[in-house]
Amino acid sequence: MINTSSASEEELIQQFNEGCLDAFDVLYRRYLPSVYNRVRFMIPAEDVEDVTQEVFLAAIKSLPSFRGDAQFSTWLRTITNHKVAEFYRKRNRKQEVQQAPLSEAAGRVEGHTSKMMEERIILRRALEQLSSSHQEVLVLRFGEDLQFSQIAEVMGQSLEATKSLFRRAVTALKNKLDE
Amino acid sequence: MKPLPDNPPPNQDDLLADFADLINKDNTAEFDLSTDEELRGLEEMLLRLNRAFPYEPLNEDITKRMHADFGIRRRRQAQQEKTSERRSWLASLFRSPLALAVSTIVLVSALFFLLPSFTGLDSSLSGAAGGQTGLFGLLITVGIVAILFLAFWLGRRK
Repeated sequence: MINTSSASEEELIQQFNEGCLDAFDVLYRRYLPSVYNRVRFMIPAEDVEDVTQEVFLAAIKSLPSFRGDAQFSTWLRTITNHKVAEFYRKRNRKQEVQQAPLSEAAGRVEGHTSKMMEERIILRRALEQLSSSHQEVLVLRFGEDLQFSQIAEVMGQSLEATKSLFRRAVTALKNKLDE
Repeated sequence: MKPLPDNPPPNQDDLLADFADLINKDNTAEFDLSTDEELRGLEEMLLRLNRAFPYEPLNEDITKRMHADFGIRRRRQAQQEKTSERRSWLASLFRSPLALAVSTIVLVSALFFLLPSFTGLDSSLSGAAGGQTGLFGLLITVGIVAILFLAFWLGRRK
């Protein structure tokens, strides 16, 4: 049996598919910070933990069908994006008529001033209106705290193209906020 | 022809990327912004974004709590999946004509084999004539159950 804590993703997935449920716990602990921070960037603070758990529950359900065509981290990012979209779909259905005013959402989470919460809501709304590639590069840099070389690898682009995309994304975000 | 400089001046993409790296390291410090108006506007945008979403590494307490909570959710999900599997198995029983026919035969056979004990009980209480009435009643029950199964299956097909 392979030592799970030092095993690669492929080995852990194989072990999980062979019935070793603990293998997923290792994957969970390994990927929790990046999933959590990505979700934190896109979802209101009070729902971050819930949505993060939903991502891993969806992953555990779909893992037997994971074929390894993409990296596990990329696959997990796709699930995260689906869950974030699902979260907003459900919320919009609930709050279509009575959208909570910005000030109402503020001050719900300890340690965050209401001004900061309002600022987050404003920025998130602007981010939602950007193209998916612009959103992605900003989330990878500020949400997941990846270096530009890592972002380039994730997005399958050159470093120069990634930095250029980043500048265009920041410009687009600024323009949205200036509108 | 003008020779190319050894170190070409960095373009805006590089300057902005470097600025993003710089502010990510310390989001409380004061930074010198570019003199170029366009670049300064983008740098200010980055500062705004970074202050609203400062990177906070997950601490061990949150990780442990979330891991424990995940274990509970995982077990709950597994239980729900088992329940829905059972439900869909039962539903499939009524959807498939073959499965329905087999289950009807099993039920009728079970009732048929239980018949002597029912009639025995009945006859000991009511006598021979009562026993015949009991047998008749049981056969009617079996018939009704079979008709109900058939009706339910036909209803589902529609």
